[in-house]
Amino acid sequence: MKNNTYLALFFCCLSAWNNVSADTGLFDKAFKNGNSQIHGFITQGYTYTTDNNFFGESSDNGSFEFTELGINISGRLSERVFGSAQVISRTTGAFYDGKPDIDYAMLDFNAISNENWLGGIRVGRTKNPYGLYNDGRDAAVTRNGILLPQSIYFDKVRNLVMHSDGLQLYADISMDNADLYVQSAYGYAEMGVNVEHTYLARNFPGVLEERKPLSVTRFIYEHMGGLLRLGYTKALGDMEYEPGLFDPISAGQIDFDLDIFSLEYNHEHWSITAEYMQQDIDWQNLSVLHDNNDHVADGYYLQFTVRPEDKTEFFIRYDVSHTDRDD
Amino acid sequence: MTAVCFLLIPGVVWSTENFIVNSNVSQEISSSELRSIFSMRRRTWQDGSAIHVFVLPDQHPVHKSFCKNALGIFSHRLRKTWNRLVFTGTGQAPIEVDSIEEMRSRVMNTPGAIGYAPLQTKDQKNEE
Repeated sequence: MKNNTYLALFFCCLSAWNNVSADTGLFDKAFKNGNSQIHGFITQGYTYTTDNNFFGESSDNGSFEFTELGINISGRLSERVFGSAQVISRTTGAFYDGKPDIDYAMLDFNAISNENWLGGIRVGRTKNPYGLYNDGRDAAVTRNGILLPQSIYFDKVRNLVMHSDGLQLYADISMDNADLYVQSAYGYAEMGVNVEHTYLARNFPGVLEERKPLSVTRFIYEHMGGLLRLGYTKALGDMEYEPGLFDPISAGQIDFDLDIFSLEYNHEHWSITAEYMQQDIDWQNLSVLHDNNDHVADGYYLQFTVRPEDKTEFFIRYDVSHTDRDD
Repeated sequence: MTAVCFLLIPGVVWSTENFIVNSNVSQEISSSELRSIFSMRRRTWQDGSAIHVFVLPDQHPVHKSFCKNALGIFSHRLRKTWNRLVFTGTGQAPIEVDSIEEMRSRVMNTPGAIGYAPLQTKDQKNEE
């Protein structure tokens, strides 16, 4: 697909969010300060598309293969240490089969805390700070729609960008009317068949693995708590391909250098969101077909959301992506 | 005893000091810190003790007024911020109380607590 304009016409998402705040004796034993919480979510969606299938056989009579379950726990372990973990189950057509997965599990060491600065390090499995919405993509309440814009948050490479195992530095800088949030993650992400298919156009007999940890850094400037949000993300990936038996392509590397520019304006009853992504992809030594075929993929979306009251939103979105911008 | 800061009169713009804190909280709180605290991004006071944030339900008029006028944030934006922290593992939700009376009681009885409430008149204080 060279020029994809998604024509999802009809979605129906029933999202029930069960929010339980627990401060019981049971958790007092587990967490020193007795300040723990449990939250969860359940989502069931229906997808209908006019042509290409998405999340099951959506182009026939529609598909209900879109179910998400999640539960998380968090607690303050000491003055400076915070722990959290979330397990999710996701069933989305051929992408995910519902097997439970650790979405994140981390310890957060808050090293700096004064009037204008907060800062520290998170260790473990952390959500990648990619664009405005990647880190909250798994719960319906933290997405900007039933599905995230595929131009930026392509579900096929969700594994690669969802989370990484390593460390994440963070800093919050508070000014009188604005805040700057900086997060930088460095760690190993999940690969898999979907990632191979995205970067190699199909699934070859070998394996695509990370040669170096993924690096994702994001800056978000928020004016007055989110009235205006401006964001910039830089992601760097370095992968290598290990050929399999009777493999038509040889050992090689795929590097990507990705930038996302984000803007969002949130009025009381409406919002406008726009993000643009550009990804330089560099293939080396893979085969005659792939060598010297470096290219730039890009995509963008524009979304207008109306909010008649706090718990109800309607939106319209225009979403475009190019696998090869020059094609 | 709770330190009560400023008066809420319907229709009057709140100042940024329209919050209440537990008596053991002695630090001055700037407008940016107040925003950071109620956004649930700041977990400790400057002395290292834990901050416990109490809020009214999202649709409560006092909550909406406090968010908009004291914090300068729409209540739905604050809810989205809390959701994002909760479901990315980077923070927790505030503790929700059902009424202003419960707010005063919980803040008064929880070390390190912060919330918000209308300033009581002298007569209302004398009745307690």
